[in-house]
Amino acid sequence: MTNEAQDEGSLTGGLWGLLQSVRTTIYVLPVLAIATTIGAVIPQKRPPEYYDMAYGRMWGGALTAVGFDNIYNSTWFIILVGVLLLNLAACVARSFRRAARQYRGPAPETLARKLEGGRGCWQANSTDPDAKGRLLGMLHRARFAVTESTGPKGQSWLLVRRWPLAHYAGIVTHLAIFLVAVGAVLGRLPWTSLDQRITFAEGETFPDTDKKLGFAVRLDHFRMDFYEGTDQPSLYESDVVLLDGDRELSKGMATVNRQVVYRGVALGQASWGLAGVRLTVTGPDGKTEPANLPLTEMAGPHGDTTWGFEDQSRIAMLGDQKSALVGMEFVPDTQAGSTYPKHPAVAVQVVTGLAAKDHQVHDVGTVGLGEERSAGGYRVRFDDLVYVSTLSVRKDPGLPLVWLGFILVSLGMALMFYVRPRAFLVEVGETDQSPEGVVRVAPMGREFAEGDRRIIETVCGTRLTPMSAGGGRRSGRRVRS
Amino acid sequence: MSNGKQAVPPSPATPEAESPVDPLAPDRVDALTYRLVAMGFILLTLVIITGAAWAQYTWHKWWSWDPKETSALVAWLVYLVYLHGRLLGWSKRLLAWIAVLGALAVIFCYAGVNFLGGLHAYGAPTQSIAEGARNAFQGMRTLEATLAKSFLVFYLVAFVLYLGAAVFAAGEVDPEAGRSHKARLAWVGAIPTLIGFILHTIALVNRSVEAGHLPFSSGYEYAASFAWAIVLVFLILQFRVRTPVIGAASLPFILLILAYGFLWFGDKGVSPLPVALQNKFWLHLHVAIAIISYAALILATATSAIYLVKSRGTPETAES
Repeated sequence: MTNEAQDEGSLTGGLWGLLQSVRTTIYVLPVLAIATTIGAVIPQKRPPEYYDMAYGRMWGGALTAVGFDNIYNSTWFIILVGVLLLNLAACVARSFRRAARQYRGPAPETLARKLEGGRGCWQANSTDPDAKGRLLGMLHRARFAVTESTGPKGQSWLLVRRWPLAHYAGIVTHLAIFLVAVGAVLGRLPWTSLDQRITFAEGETFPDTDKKLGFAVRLDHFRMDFYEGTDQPSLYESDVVLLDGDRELSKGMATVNRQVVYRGVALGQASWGLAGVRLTVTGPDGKTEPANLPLTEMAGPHGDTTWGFEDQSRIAMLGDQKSALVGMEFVPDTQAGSTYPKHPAVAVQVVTGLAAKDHQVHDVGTVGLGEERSAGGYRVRFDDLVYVSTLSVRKDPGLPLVWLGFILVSLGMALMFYVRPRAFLVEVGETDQSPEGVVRVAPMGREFAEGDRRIIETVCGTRLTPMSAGGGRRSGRRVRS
Repeated sequence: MSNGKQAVPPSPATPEAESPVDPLAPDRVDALTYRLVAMGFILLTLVIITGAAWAQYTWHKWWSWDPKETSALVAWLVYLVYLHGRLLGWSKRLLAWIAVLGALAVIFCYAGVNFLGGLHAYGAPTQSIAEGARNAFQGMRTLEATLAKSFLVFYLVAFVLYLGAAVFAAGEVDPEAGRSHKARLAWVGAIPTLIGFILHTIALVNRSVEAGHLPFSSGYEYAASFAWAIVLVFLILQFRVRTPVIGAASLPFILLILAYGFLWFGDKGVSPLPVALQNKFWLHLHVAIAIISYAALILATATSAIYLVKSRGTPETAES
């Protein structure tokens, strides 16, 4: 379809034409594909040091300088997607009128004119005197919609149609993609959406100081379980309570596969971690006191996550303030092949005489979970691991649009590729050569489906033949942009 | 016959190139590629959609620009170019090249991403190739190992037969004789493929029963299922297009994917499901659609390659 109304010479007209063109789409798509590939290959959103380490200082610097470390949020990527969406909208607008016209269908006269030319049309001499009656019966049974009318020479015209709604398939599909995009934008705008994580241990409360969530979250219980004999979690779930001050708003269990939703804010179980080890130290005087050592998440030897003691926080002062428990090493025991978490271990030392100059170090050695070891009169028991739960907190007002878009895009595509709307005119008339009647068919568009042809051939009792030399040939291009 | 033209729906075929007997006339191969791409593309869209739904369900975010998501999007974009290029009447050779590029994107999405990490890290290789070659079958029980070895051998035999038949049939001049010859030669390879496929199916059913879910969870299981899907789509294709050439072009993909599964991952037996994969509904739906989609798109590459070979040197038809 050309844009008669637009002045091609003017800048706006030219731009509008460019925006409406499928050619624009096809140039933007590969660029987008390349950009997306880069984003898939280069890890995104890492700290700048990562790129320096992974790609060398020069390349790492270059990558971050051109924004390849955060492609999907870079201005040029967003502009590219924006252009594509504008193009999509313009193409939909452009083709809407055509689809509506095709949906309304052709007038019988239009197709009858095609019969005069003969190109693309088919005919047969019917041997059945009641060809029209039988045709109507068969077409109805085949679920075609048939409109009857009479031509100027008294011939019967049957306008046969099927699946006219499928003319909108392309528009629905493209519009659906637009919907998904709008939903995606709504789900990312800072003033409509929320996407953060909170990490806390049992009994702790996330205060929501900046009032983004609209409620505080308390973690009542966190449960973890592992597949027997492995370090692979089989379950982790959090019992959470949502609070407004002291008032309980809602409570529920967040698991990986189930979220707790309150006023559009969804809390889901995202991850888990270790916050520390709980130990009990019994001194030479028989006094028992707890000593907790915090753990820090670290990168493991195989790029996995592990936990360990950090220098600043590996010391827990004991009650007398003259001695301390020092965490030397934490062994998550994932590599040893033994059952985790039942046998993680800590290596600890007890240091005494801190106030005096001559402090003493008592090496307790490695204590497994639930075990007790002693050194220098101190008994150290490894009681427990402190797990932390990480919840994802998300608000995505775009979700309904995204789901609607996904449903429509699936329906639209199935219609586009597998349902062909059909329309054709069957003319049943008499000629001098064939008093029983001649049946002529003018299909809308270039093709006449073989199945439809068969119906008519069954009624006529003979084969349909193309009306002119060009009859039945499929030629030319389907779409002009 | 008055209407010798076959109404192969989407092919804007030109009369000159259309020989009614040669199943590998470039235009027919092109139409076949289009059908495979259309089917694969719709399914790929569903893969992305079910993936997003599953991600929302389990990771609580339907899109996170994870390498797997992103590379599926790349493949989707490439096929989008293919379909729009077709609409614009681009040259069929160019379109065939785009389909080949699309398959590279699919393979990258399937395997390449495993080397990049990210949320789909369950697919990361677990052994070196040398290790894999040494103990490819050691993690399996006797029955499983026997089945795996047998279907591998049958596929290998099928490939050799297909290749031989294709080379042999390539010399045919008389189109009429060529048709009958090639049609018969197609069965030479189809029979071992079919036997291999049956054994392959038994192996996968056996594993599903043992694991309590479809074999989609480890790298080895996924490769075996993916290869199975390609054989399935290929066999359907073989019944419609009777020529050994498609077999010769498709079997290598099947063998390569199986080799990838055996050598990089190896079968470690039934392993427990990671928490994120515990929802079997999404696991089954998403991965089942994915393997069928990828299979169609991989086979579209095979037909594109045939098109590129067959149309070499001939002037471009109509479209451009």
